[in-house]
Amino acid sequence: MSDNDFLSLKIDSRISEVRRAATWFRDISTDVDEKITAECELALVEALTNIVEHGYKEEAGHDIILRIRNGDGAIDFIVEDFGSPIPTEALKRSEGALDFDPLDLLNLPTGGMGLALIKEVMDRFDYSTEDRKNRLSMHKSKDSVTLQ
Amino acid sequence: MLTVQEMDSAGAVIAPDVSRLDAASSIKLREEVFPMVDKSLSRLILDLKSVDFVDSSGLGVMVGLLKKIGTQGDLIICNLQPSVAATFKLSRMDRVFRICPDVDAAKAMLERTA
Repeated sequence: MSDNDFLSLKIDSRISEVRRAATWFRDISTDVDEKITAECELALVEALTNIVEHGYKEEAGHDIILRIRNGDGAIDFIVEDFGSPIPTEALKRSEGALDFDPLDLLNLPTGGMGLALIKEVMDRFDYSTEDRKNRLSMHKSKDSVTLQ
Repeated sequence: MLTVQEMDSAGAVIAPDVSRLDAASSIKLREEVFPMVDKSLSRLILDLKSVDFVDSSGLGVMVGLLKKIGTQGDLIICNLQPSVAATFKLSRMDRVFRICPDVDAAKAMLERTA
């Protein structure tokens, strides 16, 4: 496996483009188990939506570069953008975002679950910013269905 | 975006006519359903039979709806497709919402709690 095994798609920073990316991912992963595909699709949509809504504050006209490798035993994603990076606090907060009291109606979360869901379904999640470029990478083994 | 079947003066079955409840469509769901609650519909069945993908934006709108109805009414969700049921479970939302297999079961649950 090398970088040459990655397929690339550039999308614009619009919510409608997130669906296009999800469809593209499904098109290149037709050989993958449906549960693995569904969990990866959820993580991908959460990652891209986060960039559009928070990184670019829903302003169209900015690039998001998606690279996906559908390997023999795993799927790898690399998402790059040039918007505002995810704040360190938000990355930390996501650790406990799904540890809510289901009976505490007032304090149920209506947002902030995206990163937590990514971490829930993916085997590895890394995030870095260098020279104003944000790089989010995710890895999922094809035999690690989160929900059996 | 919605098919609405009113049951009585306070109750309705609401079925989004979309396959994906994501950031794009969940805003529209919010814009259409929240005013119904303002107009005294407080016993709702959300029928997700057409929906095969839900993300955290969609879940957030459903939680917002549950909060808006509050303790004065009911919200029951039914007809979860397997992938949608998985997202409810992954997000722990299966412990938040009352979930039924279909509309008839949801109506029976509403009647029991009326």
